Amino acid sequence: MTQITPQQIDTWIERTTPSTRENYPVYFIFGLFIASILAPIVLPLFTHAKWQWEQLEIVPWVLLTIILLMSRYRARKRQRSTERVEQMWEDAKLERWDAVDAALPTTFNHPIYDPTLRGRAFMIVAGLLESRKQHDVAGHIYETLLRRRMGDPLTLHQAQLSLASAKLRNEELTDAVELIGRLQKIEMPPPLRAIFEAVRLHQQVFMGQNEDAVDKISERRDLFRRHLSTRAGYAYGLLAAALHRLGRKDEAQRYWHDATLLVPPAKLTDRFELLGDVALHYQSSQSPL
Amino acid sequence: MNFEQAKTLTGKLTMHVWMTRVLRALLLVGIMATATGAVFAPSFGLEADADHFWTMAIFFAGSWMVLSILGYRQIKTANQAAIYITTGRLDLAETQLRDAVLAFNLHPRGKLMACHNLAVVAHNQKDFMAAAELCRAIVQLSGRSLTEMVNLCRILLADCLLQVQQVEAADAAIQPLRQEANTLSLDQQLLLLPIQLQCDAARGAFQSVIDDLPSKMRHAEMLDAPKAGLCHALLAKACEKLNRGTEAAFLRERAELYHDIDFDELKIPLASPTSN
Repeated sequence: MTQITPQQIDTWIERTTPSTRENYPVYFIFGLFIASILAPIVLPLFTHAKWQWEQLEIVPWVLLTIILLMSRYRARKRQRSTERVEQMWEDAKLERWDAVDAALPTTFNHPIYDPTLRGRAFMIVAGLLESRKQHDVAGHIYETLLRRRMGDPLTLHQAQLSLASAKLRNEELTDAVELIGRLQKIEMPPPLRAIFEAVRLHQQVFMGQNEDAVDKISERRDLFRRHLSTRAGYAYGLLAAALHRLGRKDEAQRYWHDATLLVPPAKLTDRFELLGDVALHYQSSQSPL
Repeated sequence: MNFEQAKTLTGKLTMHVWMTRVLRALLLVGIMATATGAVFAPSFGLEADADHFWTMAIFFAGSWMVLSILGYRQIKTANQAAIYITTGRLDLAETQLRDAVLAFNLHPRGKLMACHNLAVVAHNQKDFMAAAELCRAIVQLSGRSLTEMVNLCRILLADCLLQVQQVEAADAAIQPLRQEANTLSLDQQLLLLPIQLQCDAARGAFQSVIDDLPSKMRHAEMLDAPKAGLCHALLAKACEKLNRGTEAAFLRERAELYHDIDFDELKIPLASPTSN
């Protein structure tokens, strides 16, 4: 298992940054190529003599071949980097964290040329760290992504929401509450709003604000159901916890049943330790598959 | 965009693609022939002609490069239109993509990408026949290098055909993908799953619907809520048909949790399980 520290993350960020110097040889050879084409035409205008280029006529062709070979090599390199990140993305989606871990050295010791893909690659590492409960290092990744504006707007929005969640799990409560308060004022598309509401729900249940957590419960449930798909199970679990603490046992049982219908109880309690108490009190849904 | 407009467009697209293929072949032959001529002409005592050959070779190679750079702009247009699609500006996307499909490009890739995005626009506008026509053209015109786009087009084509109740044609469109299911990326497998389940269920192949049930359920869990709901509902129906009551009840309950499903509207004919 690869040990991942904030220093390691910073190293990977440097190593995956494409260097502008990589383009210089191509520019140089391209310049030579243009010069070798123009020289026979332009130079006689100044020297008033016929350009004796018969011996040099092969030069542009050699340069053109080098340009084509270099372009092909660079394209292949970019393709390989894309394929590596996409494979990691698939493994992360299927929660094959061992495969993600095994791919780390190869993926992050080479430049990742597409900025969107680069942002996504670091979000995958953050996902791996969250699965290992290293929320502090995951938080470092989200902060770095936001500070350096790495990734597309959607990735950055997700990084903000994940940062709030990571701070909560690290018990940096003041920072978490402040960030959540700031995010609440931002206009978001409904799927991101649903993720935000799930983070806020976690904060409320974590800090014992159970009345607030179940306020407008049906609106929240609709939002989760419409946009979180299977992940809505985690939100239902948190709502069950809030209802349980308020003594509304029948409703808590219903929500816990729905939560465990979507996500196995072990996964729920692994992700949110505060659900351990709820799991002991209520009947979970049993999968026959 | 309606079906007639799509048909006219694909007709022009087919002609453009073949014309650019011919032009490309001519340019390539021109480069090779004139370059060879420039090198070997002096050996045959044609020193003066070597200069002309050389100039022509430069002209052909230059034309190739300039036309390729112009074609790159078309790929950029297709990508920019994809942003319009994501943000829901389908009218803007359609106008831009129509121009991109008909503009000259030495490499058909840019044109086909634009056409694929146009099919997505037509699908989002619920012009399923038009989208199907565009997808068919892409599948026919694409070479082996565009496998990923062809796969996406096949899935889109099957979806359009299912929307207009042409189940057999939809099933035929995804047949090559079923045979290569293991080589598809996860994203493509996820796009294919609801289509495949609908086709199998409509054919009454319920055993095929629930083959490898845990894996299908796992994939369905990764879809957005309406599609996850639909997949679970189809799996539940198939279990019901095959008298697997416990699984059917579990899947049905899950389906209802994902989305409001009208179980009578799943459009599954009342074929018996033995029809497998």
